[in-house]
Amino acid sequence: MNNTLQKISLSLTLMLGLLISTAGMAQTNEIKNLAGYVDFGDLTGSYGEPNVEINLGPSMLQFASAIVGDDDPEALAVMKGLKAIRVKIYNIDGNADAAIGQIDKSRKQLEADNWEQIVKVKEDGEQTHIFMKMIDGNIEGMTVLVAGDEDEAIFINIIGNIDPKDLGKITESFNVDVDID
Amino acid sequence: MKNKTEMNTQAFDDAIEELLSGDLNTNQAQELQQAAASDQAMATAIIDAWTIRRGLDELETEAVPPALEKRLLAIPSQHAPRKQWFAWLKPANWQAGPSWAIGSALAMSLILAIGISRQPNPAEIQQAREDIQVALAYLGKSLNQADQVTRDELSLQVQKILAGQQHRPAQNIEGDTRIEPESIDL
Repeated sequence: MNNTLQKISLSLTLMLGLLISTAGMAQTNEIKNLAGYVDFGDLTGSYGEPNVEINLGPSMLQFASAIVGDDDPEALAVMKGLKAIRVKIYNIDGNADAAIGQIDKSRKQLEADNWEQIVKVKEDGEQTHIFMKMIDGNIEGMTVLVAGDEDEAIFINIIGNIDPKDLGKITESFNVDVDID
Repeated sequence: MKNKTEMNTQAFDDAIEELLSGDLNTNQAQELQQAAASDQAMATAIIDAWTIRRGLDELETEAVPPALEKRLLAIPSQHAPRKQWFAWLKPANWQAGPSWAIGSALAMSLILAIGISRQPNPAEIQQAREDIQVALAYLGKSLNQADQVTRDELSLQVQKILAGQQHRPAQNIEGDTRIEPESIDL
């Protein structure tokens, strides 16, 4: 390999590394800056790594939903309104204290940020909280926080324009076998 | 220049650090770069170090106030610019501009390239679809755990809030008390 080719090779390698790292950071920052973003904190110290962790940004949502377009324009319209989907599921193994503590922190922050709590359920040791973020008549995000007797603590954040009544449209379109009524 | 396996770890780390800091002279930098071109481990280590440095730079960088930026840009480049590690990329007749401009231009080019060329492969798209399925399944499970809550009720509340009505307390189910949809205090 001559000197010029070596330089080009190294340059491309360096640029690829920079490109990958820049893309990741750019998308993470982009999502964090959205009005519908919720900070779930970090419970790895209490429960270890999440059993499920999903972070889908706008571009991946766009590609993933393109396939439903022709068959289900309604579902596509719902998907187009979404900017990100984030999920963290921890196995709490019967000890919900840390999860409930985090939910309390998140709730306080959400209230301070003018989120609307539309559901609060405390029943048989189980807590479920649903908040919506609305700005100027537009839905900017939704978050669901669950912890209690179940073995899992659930943190879900859907960023973008999502009306709960439209959830059925995309669950059908994505063949999700869950009755969310 | 020895390859990575021939250099001791400290010397190797020092060489990379000096390369990224622009502290190597031209010959030394070229030697290291040539060695990296034929040594995958060395190239990977340089990329890792570069990536970490970039991340740290981002963490530590704060936006420059416009007024200060103007003043800084007005300072004539009378001081010799610090030699950059990527100096070897420049043609011999290169008219050096400010280093920040070169870095910014490179970064902007790459970001544009990402936007234009970055396409997920089919496996990534399939993974994203499966992630969406999992997310929706957990969302459904969570709503079911809210027992009496249905998506239509949630939507009703949302629509009323959007219509500008006064803030209402959340639908609240405590203990064994169930609040039927028609009795929800909106």
